[in-house]
Amino acid sequence: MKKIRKLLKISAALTASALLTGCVPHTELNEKAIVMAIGIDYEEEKFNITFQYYNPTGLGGRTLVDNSQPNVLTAKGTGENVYGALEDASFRCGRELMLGVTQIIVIGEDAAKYSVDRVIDFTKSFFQSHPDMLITVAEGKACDLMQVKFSEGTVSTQKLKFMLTNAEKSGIVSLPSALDLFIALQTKQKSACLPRLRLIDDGKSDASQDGKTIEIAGGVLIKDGKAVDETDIEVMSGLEILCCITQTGTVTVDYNEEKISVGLVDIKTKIKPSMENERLVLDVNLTSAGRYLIDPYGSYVDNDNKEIEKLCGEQLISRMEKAIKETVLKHGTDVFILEKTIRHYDYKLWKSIEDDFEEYLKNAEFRIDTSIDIDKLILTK
Amino acid sequence: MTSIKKISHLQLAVLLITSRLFSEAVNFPLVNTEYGMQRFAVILTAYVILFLQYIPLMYLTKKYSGESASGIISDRNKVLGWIYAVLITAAVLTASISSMCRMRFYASSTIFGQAPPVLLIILMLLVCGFAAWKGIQGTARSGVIFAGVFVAFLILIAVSVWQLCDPKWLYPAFIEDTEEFVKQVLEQIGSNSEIIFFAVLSEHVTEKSHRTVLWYVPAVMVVLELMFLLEMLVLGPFLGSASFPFFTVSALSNIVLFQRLDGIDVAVWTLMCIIKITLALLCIRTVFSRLAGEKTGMITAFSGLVIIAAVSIGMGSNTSFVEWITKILTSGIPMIICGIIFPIIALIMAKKVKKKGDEENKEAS
Repeated sequence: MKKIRKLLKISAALTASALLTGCVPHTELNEKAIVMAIGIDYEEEKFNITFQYYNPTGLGGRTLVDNSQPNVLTAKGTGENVYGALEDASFRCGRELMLGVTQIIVIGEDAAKYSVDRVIDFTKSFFQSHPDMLITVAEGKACDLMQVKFSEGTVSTQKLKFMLTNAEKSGIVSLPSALDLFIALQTKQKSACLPRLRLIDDGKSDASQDGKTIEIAGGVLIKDGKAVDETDIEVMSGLEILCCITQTGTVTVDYNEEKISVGLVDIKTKIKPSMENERLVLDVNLTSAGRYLIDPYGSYVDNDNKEIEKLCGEQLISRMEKAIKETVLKHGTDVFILEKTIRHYDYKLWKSIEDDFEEYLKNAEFRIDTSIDIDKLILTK
Repeated sequence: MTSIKKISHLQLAVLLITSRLFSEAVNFPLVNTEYGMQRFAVILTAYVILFLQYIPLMYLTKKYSGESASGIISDRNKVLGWIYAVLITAAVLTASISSMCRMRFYASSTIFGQAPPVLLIILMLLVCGFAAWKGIQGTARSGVIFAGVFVAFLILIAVSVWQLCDPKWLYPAFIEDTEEFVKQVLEQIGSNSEIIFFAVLSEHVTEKSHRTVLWYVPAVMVVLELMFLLEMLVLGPFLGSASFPFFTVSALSNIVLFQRLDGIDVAVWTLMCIIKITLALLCIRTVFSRLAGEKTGMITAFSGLVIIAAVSIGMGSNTSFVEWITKILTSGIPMIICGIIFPIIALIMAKKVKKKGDEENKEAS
C-alpha cells in the first residue's frame, strides 16, 4: 500500500510538472529571430537598427541547417532609442527577438559620435544578451555592413567574428567585448578604442555572393563615451601590447639588408606609476620571448641575437609610443585604463591626481623598456 | 515545546546561512551594490557587530538548552507571549514578502521574462507550505542539499571565470567615505532577520544550540567576502552599475560544457528563497503552537502563507511598495525588538522564575 502511495505521489508530481509547462506562455525556437549581429545607426535624432538573424532552413533549403544557402536574413527598425528600434524591428519581421547568441554589435559612425554609452545601454535590459559579444564601429553606416552576407561559415557573422578574433590573436587590433566596454565606460575618462570596420564594395570579393566584403581599417577612439578620433592599425597594435591583451605578435625588422620576422610569444607588459616634478611618470616594462619566423642568413653559425632583439624592442617601442601619442597625449584618453594601474599600485597618488586626471595624462611621461629573448629553433639546420 | 522534530545546531546554522545568503545576493537593485574596497570592510564590520548582537540569545540558549526566547516568554507570561508572537509574525512576514517580491523581480527580469509572475509566486509558495507542514527536519535536510548546490555553483563559477579575473581592480583603501561606511554597515546589520529565526527555532535544536551562531556568522561573512571579491575581480567598476552583478558573472562562464551559468544562478537563488520563506513559516508555526496548540500553529502558518501570496501577487509589481517594505527591514527595528530586546526580557524572566522556584523549593524543604 505504501509503495502504491509513493508511486501515486511521484506520478502526480511528474504529471503536474509536465502540465505546468503549458501554463507558461512561450515561443518556439523556430518562431524567434535569433539575432546574430546588430548594426546601430543614429540619424536625425533617431536610432536605426539593422540586424542579421538566423534562418535555420536557409533560403529554400530542406534541411535544418543548409550550408549551401545563406542562413541569415536582415530586419530593420527605427526608434527614439535602441530598445524602441529593436522593438520596431521585431514588429516588422514578425518574430520575437532572442539576443542570447548575438556575437557582434556594429555601431555606425554617427551613432558612435553621438554616444557609445547610450547605444549599448540596451544590452543591460536584455539580460539574455551575452556580455562577451564583440563591439565594433563602422566606417559610415552600420546598416551597410549588415547587408554583407558572407558565404563562408554556417552564419555570416561567424566569418566576421573569426576575422576580428584572428586579428586580436595576431596582435593587430585590441578587441573589447561588451563587458570590457561597460567597464571602460565606468572609469573616469570613459575611454576605449574600438575596431573600425570598412565596407569594400568593388564587386570583386568572393567572400559574399554580391562581391562585397569587410576589412578591419583601424580603430575608433572613444572619450567621455563618444567617438573623438580615428586611429590606424599600428596604433591599435601598440595599444594591444600596452593593454597586455595579446600574448603573441609578429615583428619584422631590417637587419643586414634582410627583412627578418620574429614571432613574439608570452608578451607581458607591466606599467608602474610615479610622480616626478609634478608630472605623472609611467614606467612601461615589456618582456617577451621570441622565435625567428624568417631567420637571418647564417644565423645558425652566429649565436648572437642581441642586435635583432634590440631592433625588435625598438620597433615595439615605436608602436607603443605612437599609440600613446595619438591616444593619451593628444586626447587625454585612458585607453589602457591607467586609472586601475595607478590606484592599484599607489592609491595616494591616484587620490592626488584624480580631479585633474586628464591634464596629468596629457602631460604624462612614458618610459618604455623592452626585454626580448629570442630562442633559436635549430631543429631544421 | 511543539511536536516538530529536532535538528542539530549545524543543520540550523546551514539553514540560517542559506537564508541570509539569499537576502544578500538578491539585495539589488533596490539597494545599490557598491564598487570599491570599502565593501570588504563593511561586511567584516557588520558581521562582527552582528555577532555581538547575538550574545543575549547565545547566553540564553546556552543556559537553557533546548529552549528559545519565544518559548520562555510564552511559558512564563501568556500576554507577553502573545505580543511577542504577533511581533515575530509581523517581522517574518515582512521579511518573506520582501524576499518573495525581490525574487519575483529578479526571476522575471532575467530568465523567466515570459512566465506569469503569479505562477512564479504560487509555485514557490506551494513548496514553502509543504516544507513548513513537514517540519524543520525535512527543511534542514533540503537546506543542506541546497547549500551544497550553492557551494558547488560558487566553485564552478570561480573556476570558469578565473581567466577574466584582474587583481589590479583591487586597491588599498578600505574606508574611503566614513559617513557612507557607517550607513552601509547599519544597512547590512539592519536587514538581518535571521536573528529572529534563531530566537524562535533554537528550541528545535537537540543540544548546544548556541553553537549555531558560531558557525553561522563567520560562514556568511566569509562567503559574502568571497562573492564580492569574485565580482570585483571580474567586473571592476562595472559592479557599481550592474543590476545583477553575480548573474552577470555567471553569464560570463565559458569553459567547455559550462557556458552561461546564469540559468543555474536563478535556480540556486530560487531554492534558497524557498528556505528563507519556509523558515519564516516555521517560526510562525512554532510560536503559535506553543501558545495555542499544534493545530492553531499550523493554521496560523498557512494563514501567513496566504498573506505572503496575496501581498506578493497584489503589490509585488509596485517597486515603491517593495522599497518601502525592505526599508522597514533595513531600519533594523524588527530585528532589534524581536532579536535583542525580547530575548533579554526572556533571559530576565527565566532568571526570575528560576529564583522563585528555588525559593519555593527551599521553603518546602
